[in-house]
Amino acid sequence: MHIAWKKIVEDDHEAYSAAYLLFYDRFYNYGLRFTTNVSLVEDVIQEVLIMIWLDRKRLAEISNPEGYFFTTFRRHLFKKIKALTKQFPLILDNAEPEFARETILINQEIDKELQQKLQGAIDKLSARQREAIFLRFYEGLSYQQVAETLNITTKATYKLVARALLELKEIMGLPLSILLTLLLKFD
Amino acid sequence: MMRRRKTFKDYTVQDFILDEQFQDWVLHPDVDNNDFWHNWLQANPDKHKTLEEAAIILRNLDFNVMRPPSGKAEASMAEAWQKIKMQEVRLPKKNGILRQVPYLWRVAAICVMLLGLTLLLVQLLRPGEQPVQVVTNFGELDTVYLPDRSMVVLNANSAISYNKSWDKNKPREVWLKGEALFHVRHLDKDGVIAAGERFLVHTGPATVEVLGTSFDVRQRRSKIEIALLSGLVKVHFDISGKSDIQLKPGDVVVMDTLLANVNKIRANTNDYAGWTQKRLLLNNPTLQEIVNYLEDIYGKKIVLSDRSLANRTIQGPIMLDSLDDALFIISTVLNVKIIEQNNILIIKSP
Repeated sequence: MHIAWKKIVEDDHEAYSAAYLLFYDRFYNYGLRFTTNVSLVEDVIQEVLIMIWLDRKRLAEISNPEGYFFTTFRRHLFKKIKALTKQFPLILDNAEPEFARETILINQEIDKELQQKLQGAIDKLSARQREAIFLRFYEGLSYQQVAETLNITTKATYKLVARALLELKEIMGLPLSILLTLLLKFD
Repeated sequence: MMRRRKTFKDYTVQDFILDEQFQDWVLHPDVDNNDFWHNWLQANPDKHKTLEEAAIILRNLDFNVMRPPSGKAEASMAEAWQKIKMQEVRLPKKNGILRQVPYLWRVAAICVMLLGLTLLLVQLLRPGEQPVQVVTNFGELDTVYLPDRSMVVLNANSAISYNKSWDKNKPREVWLKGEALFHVRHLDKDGVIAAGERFLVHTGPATVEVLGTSFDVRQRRSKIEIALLSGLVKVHFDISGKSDIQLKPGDVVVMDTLLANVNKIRANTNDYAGWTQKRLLLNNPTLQEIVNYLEDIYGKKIVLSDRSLANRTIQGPIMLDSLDDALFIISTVLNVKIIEQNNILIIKSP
């Protein structure tokens, strides 16, 4: 899953091509959380990945390329979405694009009643909380990388994730019987 | 990148849920973190339940994933490489080279600085006179954007040079060796051609003068061909007694530079641009013409074992998008044998 950034900086076309395909899929999945406009997302993916290649010498020293990729992609995508909303002001006002509600799900295999409760709790999360959880747990970015992407401090990111997870935990901490059946599943 | 200094001994369920290292293990287990946590559990058997409880909440998070249709990523990448190539032609190439060899800066810092000063001085004295040259190898095409954003597609084994920036009051000038297709930006707006609106292509003894237009210039061996696709051009020859020739779309000027003779013919000039799509290019060509062309484009020495082969023709256009394909067509259509010896291709009667 890791990109060979050093090789890319040294003009390795294969390393870049591999990274291109990897990030295409990841950005596609991420970008479509903010808009349903597929061709816009596809354009932004290509523009950002081309920009990274053309800029690779200047970016040689960046400490975490993966975080940088995500940050750049998000910023660029938001710019494009906002430009579009400005063009068609009736559709939406100039609010920040929102991370889609239906992204985070609860494992279907657990008890129906608990599943519904958890899903209810997740649906109450803020767009930022959902995005932070997606980046941290689905994309596997570190707290620090998530912070960079969302343009907030690491501490704020941690709090954002913590509040969400602890709320879920409260719900989980209900009847012991349910917890026990869950425990058995993971043995 | 694991921080293993933490002991986790007094961690509660909450602490584990929020711990990055623990999260990584639950969601992305690998050999390293599996080892670590299994060892930790053996050392802290009473924590088994706490750990398990913390894992449950994380494991039950699931995500709705959207994947691009298959082939999308690959197609986008192919397009990206093309755009990158176009972009890199436009950027001055020396930057990249200097950055690739950073020790050069250290070793020769002073030299470079002196050189820089000299260049600056030259630049100040002769504004815009910094030459740019783009050269293609055998089998390689390139797209070049000129300072006025006119586009030139450069065929294989060709070179084009021009000044990096163009004076608005002087004609736009490029020098060509080999073959290129020009899409020239039309600058004239009032019908009176000012100096800066002229566009000149110099190749050998011929100069093509253009007003916004598409045309192909092919200068190979002792032959120059200029084919006009659209617009209007005038060809001027640096040879006494040869008067200028005006071209209309569909006209081709063919010049033999050894004999210094010039002919104007009518042809399907779109065929002359066929090479930009790496497809055919010659119409009813003789084998000699095909061989010359393949040599020019792919840099391979090709010999006809028998002179009588030279004038055999292939009826219709021939696709030349790769050397192997072209050779295959020649061998089947003309029923000849092609063998390779010491890196030379020999075409023989069967």
